[in-house]
Amino acid sequence: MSEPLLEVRHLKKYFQTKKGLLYAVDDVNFSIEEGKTLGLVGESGCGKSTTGRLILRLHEATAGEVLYRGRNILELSPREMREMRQKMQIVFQDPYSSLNPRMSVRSLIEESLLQRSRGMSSAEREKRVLAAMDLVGLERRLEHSYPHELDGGRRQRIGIARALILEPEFVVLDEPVSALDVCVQAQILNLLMDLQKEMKLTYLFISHNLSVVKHISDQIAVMYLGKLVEMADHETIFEDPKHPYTKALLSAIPVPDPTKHPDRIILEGDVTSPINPPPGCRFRTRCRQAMPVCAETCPELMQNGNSIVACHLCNGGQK
Amino acid sequence: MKQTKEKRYSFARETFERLMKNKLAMFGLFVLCVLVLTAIFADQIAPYSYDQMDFLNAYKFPCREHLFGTDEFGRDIFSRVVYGSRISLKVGFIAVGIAVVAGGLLGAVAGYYGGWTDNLIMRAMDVIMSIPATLLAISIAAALGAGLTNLMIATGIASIPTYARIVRASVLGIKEQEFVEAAKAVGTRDFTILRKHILPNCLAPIIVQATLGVAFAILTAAGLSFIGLGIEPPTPEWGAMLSNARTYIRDYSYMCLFPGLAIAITIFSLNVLGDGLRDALDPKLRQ
Amino acid sequence: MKDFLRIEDLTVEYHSGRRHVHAVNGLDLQVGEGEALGFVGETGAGKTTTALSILRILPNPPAKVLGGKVIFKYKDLFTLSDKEMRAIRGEEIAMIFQDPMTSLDPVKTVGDQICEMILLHEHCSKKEAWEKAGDMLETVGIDRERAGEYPHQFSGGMKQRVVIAIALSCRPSLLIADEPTTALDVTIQAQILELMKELKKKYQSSMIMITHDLGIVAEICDNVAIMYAGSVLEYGSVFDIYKDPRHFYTKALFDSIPDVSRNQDRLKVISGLAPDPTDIPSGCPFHPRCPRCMDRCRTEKPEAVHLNDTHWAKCFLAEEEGRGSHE
Repeated sequence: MSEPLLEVRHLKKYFQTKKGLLYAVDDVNFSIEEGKTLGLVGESGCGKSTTGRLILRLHEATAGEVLYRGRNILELSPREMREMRQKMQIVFQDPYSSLNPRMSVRSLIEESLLQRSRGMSSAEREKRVLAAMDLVGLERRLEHSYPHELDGGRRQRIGIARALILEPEFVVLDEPVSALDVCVQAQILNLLMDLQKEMKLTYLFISHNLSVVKHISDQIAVMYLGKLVEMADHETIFEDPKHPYTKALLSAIPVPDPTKHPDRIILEGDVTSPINPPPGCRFRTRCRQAMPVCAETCPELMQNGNSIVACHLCNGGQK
Repeated sequence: MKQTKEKRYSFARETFERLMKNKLAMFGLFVLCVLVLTAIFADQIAPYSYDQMDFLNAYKFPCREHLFGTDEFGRDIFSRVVYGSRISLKVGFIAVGIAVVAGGLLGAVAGYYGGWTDNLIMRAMDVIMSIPATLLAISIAAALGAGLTNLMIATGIASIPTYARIVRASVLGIKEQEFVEAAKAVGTRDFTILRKHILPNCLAPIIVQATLGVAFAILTAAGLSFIGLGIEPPTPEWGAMLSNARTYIRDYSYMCLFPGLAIAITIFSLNVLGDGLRDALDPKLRQ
Repeated sequence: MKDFLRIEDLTVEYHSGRRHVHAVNGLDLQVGEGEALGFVGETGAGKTTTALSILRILPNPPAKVLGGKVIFKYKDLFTLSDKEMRAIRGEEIAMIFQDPMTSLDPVKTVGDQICEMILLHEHCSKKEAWEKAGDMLETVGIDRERAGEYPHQFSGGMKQRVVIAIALSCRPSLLIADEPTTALDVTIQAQILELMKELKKKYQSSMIMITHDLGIVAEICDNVAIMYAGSVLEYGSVFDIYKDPRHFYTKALFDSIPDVSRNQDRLKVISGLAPDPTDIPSGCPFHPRCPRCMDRCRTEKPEAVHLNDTHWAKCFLAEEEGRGSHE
């Protein structure tokens, strides 16, 4: 096993709200090896996007460490962090709101270059911008268009070009295809996989859509209410899900085949509020197999076969 | 969807081309140009001097010699309106300029940084706002002394909170948008984010408010002049003329009418131009 | 009743400035009584426009119905007076919108909102209406005690249940659901789909399910219409469409979904871009992106080729493209 490129240790983010403390991310641990993709899955409000942002320090973490090649980036000074941002980039979910409507395609992609390479001539920058546009499959003639003139797929390509122009090593993809139509979604997914191979990128792929995640990820981590509940490689998690939440999540995906009607596990109720969550396992309020012990102690992540699971039921109920 | 734009235009030129298509805005621009030219060439246009009194011809209704009539001292109102444009336009634009720049900056900083910076700035603005604008202008003018420059500063300061609030509100909305976060993610500095991403996107409400603000500035200046803290008579100023003429509104209404019309036309053309500019500046409305 | 709802040659345009957006172009469609039809297509395919024109609630301007008929229970809806149409909306045809957050009035209790619908179409006292509203809430799985609460006290999934309760409160014979679960989480989506399946069985009403998710259609619908650039390219039972798609667009659509049950290295992608609705391609609208495009496709609009009683596809090659071409 090679050295992980990124390691997240005991990452926590609490928000103070009027109703109490909101546990957005609560003690999350994982690592990503160089050139691999970790898929982070969960429902809205589970803290997956916050995790992505904490790693890039778009939000400041409450506690924990983010080690990038062994260096804790949460301790870097703003100046060092700006340097670091060259290596770590993000692609946002909504290609509509993540592009400034008043900037042309060129100035959008160029922006990061302007911050970085002071001495670069305009001609040189244009060359780099056009190269980045070629890389993501944006027609060069669109250089002076504005985002609202383009369709969702092209806009998302701008977002990708902007992230890749600095030649980063690590990219957080925050629901990059959720706002797109299926056909365009497929194009963007293929593009992302090609780029990964070509540029040896490491991805953190955040999504609520399991089928998309399965397609692109090597490892998959499932989050529920700020905590990781299960992590395994992409085949194991689909073939042998352990945590009851993972199972429910998997069975909830509508299968595009009228002959197959899977036995669906319908979860009762809604996601519990992440504000002052109950003690014990966060999922127990919706879990059919909840036991007394689940209300008492919060299960730890433990190795179970090929997966790591945080569930009293799977881990033998002890402690 | 249009993807054929290959020519490169500068932003300003493109905006102007779009503005050209808006007939009403072009009308406003035209009227404003006429007003500005009037102010510049007042000496050539005005048939009389603004302070030339002629008691024999006082209270004259508009006629061929005196297009807009004469006032209680027999001064030609047309000439006074023409000369008045110099001061009124200057006061209007500069006062609003001061307010927009200072208010905009304060509002942007307050909205963007939030927290105690926001509290400090906005509470200060509240203090200013709690004093009626005219009264505030009076106290500032009184403290600084009478005179054109102080008049503009006083009116400007009195309207700073309005702009600060507007800008802060739009900044609060815009800074939550993902593109601001995206800019941060590529390592853009705070100041650059404010300048390149946030401020251009809150131009629209500022422009609208500024066009209305010019009217407010002209009228406040008039009020100050009226109580002797602004322009000293006999220097003509629309607002001051208007306040003077109030006394005669029953018998010689034309004395009010013309300076009033001058103010109204200025404000109207500013408003339509402002609306046009707002639309022209918005790339989403591009056809 | 075979001709429960029949749409003939519906054409709708949007005007914006000098541009004409051809949203729906000569759409033909039938929905039988008690049948659930899935309306599948990408953004801009004209799904929602079609639904809104059935109810005659298209914003006009900019939208304009240029031609066609919508025949519902032997009545041409386009010839009805506004008053007659109002009676049909809600009572005969009801609609569920995509976003439950914005389709409920935030200042009225949910009970009131259901009552309002009932009182509008039924002659009954306020008290009876309130009773019925309680019943409706129970039908969709919400305690009747919660009728006095306001929408913000409900979660997203619960709000969508309320919206469904309002839509069903007058027992409409046709329910149009426009992406009812798109704004919801997967596990909540599963709950709502389950509920809709139950209600469909219980009320026996017809349904048009607008969605871009082929998985949802497979679960809920009997028949499917595949929409592209404002017209239906293929129509048939879910089994025919999913097991034996004949139009190249339908095939491409299936190929581009990442499937959990299969291991794929790369997704197959439709080349080219979705058509510009201001400039729909001549002939077959899909021809610029079709892998088997022939000269004929560019100029001639293919007629529907009937493959069996219900299954048809508007493609010249529909008959040749038999089984086995779709894995």
